[in-house]
Amino acid sequence: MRFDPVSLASGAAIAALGALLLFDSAGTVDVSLGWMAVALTGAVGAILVLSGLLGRNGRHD
Amino acid sequence: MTPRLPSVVIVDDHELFRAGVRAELEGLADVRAEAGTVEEAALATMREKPDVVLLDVHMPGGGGVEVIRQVARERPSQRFLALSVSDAAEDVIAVIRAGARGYVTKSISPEELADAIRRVREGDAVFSPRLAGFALDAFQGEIPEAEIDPELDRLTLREREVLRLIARGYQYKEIALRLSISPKTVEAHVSAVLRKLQLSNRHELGRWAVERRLVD
Amino acid sequence: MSATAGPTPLLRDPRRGLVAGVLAGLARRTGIDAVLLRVAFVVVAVATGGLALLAYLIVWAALPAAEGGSAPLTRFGRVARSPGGWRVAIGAALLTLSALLAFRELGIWWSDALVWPVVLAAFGAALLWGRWQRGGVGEAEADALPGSEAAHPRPSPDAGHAVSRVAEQYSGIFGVLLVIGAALLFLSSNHILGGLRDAALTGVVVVVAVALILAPFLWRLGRNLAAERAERIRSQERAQLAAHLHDSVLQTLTLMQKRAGDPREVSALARRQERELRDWLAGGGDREGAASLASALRSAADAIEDDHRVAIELVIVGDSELDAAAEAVLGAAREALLNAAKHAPDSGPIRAYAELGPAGIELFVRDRGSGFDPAGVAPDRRGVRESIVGRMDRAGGRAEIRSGPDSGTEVGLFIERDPGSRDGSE
Repeated sequence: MRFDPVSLASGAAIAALGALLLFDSAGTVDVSLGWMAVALTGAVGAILVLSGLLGRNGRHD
Repeated sequence: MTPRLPSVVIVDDHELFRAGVRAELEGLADVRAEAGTVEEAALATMREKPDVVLLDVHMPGGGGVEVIRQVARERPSQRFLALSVSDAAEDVIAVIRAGARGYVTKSISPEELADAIRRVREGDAVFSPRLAGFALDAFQGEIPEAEIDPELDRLTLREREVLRLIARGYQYKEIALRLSISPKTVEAHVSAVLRKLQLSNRHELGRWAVERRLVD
Repeated sequence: MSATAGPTPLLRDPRRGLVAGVLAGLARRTGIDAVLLRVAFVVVAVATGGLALLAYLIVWAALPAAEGGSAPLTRFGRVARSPGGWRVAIGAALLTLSALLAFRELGIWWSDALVWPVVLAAFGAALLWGRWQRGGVGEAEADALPGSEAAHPRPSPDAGHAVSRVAEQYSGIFGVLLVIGAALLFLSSNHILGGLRDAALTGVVVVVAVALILAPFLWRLGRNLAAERAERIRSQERAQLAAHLHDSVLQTLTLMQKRAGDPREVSALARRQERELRDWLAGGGDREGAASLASALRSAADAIEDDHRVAIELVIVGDSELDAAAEAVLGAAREALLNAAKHAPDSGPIRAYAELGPAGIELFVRDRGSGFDPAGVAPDRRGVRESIVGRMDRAGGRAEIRSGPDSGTEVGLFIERDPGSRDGSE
């Protein structure tokens, strides 16, 4: 299986987000709405940038 | 065939080509004049009154068609043989319908050219295989009975056969042998086809340039 | 950029700078000592509560480095405009948003009513500025513009490519809208808008009315521009074809001079070039695909002409699709032409005539070579004859071969189709 950094990073970001939500609902960490927005936009943005940069270089354009 | 050489005026806007034709016809025809423009051509023709005018199709100022029109006003009996590089359908048909009695391409050999000139001088039509193909193509489709002028808008079976043999590269003599008719009859058929090409109102002939792709 | 002529341009100097060389570059340009500038910067930063840091960031992004290369913003712009780069652009925008929201949570904020309009305006201004920068179009970006797309057609498998191009064309409008939106947002959130509302409404109504009046004119203008551009592209293509053709002709003429001693070669070169020129004059770069028997015949004849250096005069009446019957005739015709090319190459052009139609196909190939006795024993000729006759027989048609010592050889191929498919022509 080929090592695809984009998918790896995207998966990690989504996993982190999911963990955050989990901790929030479990009460371990209290995340306000503002910080949630920060995390969400940050994660999606990072995934897009990574896929745009690395995906482009990996593919033959 | 009269013993004297046919007199010819060469009309073409390419001087190099005019010189070439003149050289080729050395001893085979009597070249009286050359012309490089429509005006010069009309003047030279009126002045020299040649048996046949060798006419290029593409020239600035209206081309061969324009030359025929201008000359026909004063000298309607003048005979034209179109000699051109272009074998696009619209060019060929246009110059035939303007009144040329034959069409040959520039790659023709000197002997065949001289023969064509002689035939046109005698009033016969000269069809290159390509022109024969165009004619067959033009008269191919069916049109409503009511609109047909049987004189003009259809080819007879015999005429079709003759055209086919011309397209296949047969000379008139060979056609005569093949169809068991005399060469004169062959010429008569070809002339009849020429007349139909010139006069028929078949819309194929009119809209040729619009719709047709180049037919080889 | 030369450092010799004129005043030193304003560039970053990453080698001598502490962070990214912004202040160092400023020092080079103004001649003030870099240390002084740094001290001043720290003072300003503390005084303005961090605003100076933001300014630093902006200047960093906007200035190219002294070693050459472009400003980070320009590079980003290039990446964003490449096919698929829209992801990077949106991703970067989201990351920026994320950072802003983080600052907001941390309290490093002025006020919603202030920051968001400023951000929108900055984004819009960036779009417009980028577009203005490209107005001259000298860079490689030119290749991404739709105009030259036609000259260098590229396959664009990525839907992102289409998105990039759309974004490209409308980035100006986006920019303008963003700036206007930012202004409105600022005004409304600061409650300045109330008094202006009537005036604004009047203005809007007037604008809409004028737009409606001008709409058809603008629409037609747009259409004309599009048509004109299409025309321009087409004539560009045609000019390119013509240029290619000129090259071809020059090459052929050169070759002909070199091979002047071999008349057949010269003749073949001339014939091939003549064909190319004729095709161009007939108004098309490419012939129709070999989807019809007529064009397949022409291609076959061209190939044989080129390979065997003969001249073939082909006259075709009508056309037909390439069904089984047509394929059989095509194959047999090719054989016949090859035969004529091999055995009668120097006796005038080979004449081929084809009548094609839905009812049937007739094809004749004639050469004026020395001919042969059909009953004779020339082994390879008999073999070829059988391949022609046999092929036609198998396809349900027939072939006739006439040959004589004086009259050359003529091959006739005939095939009829099922009368059910006839549509009554001729």
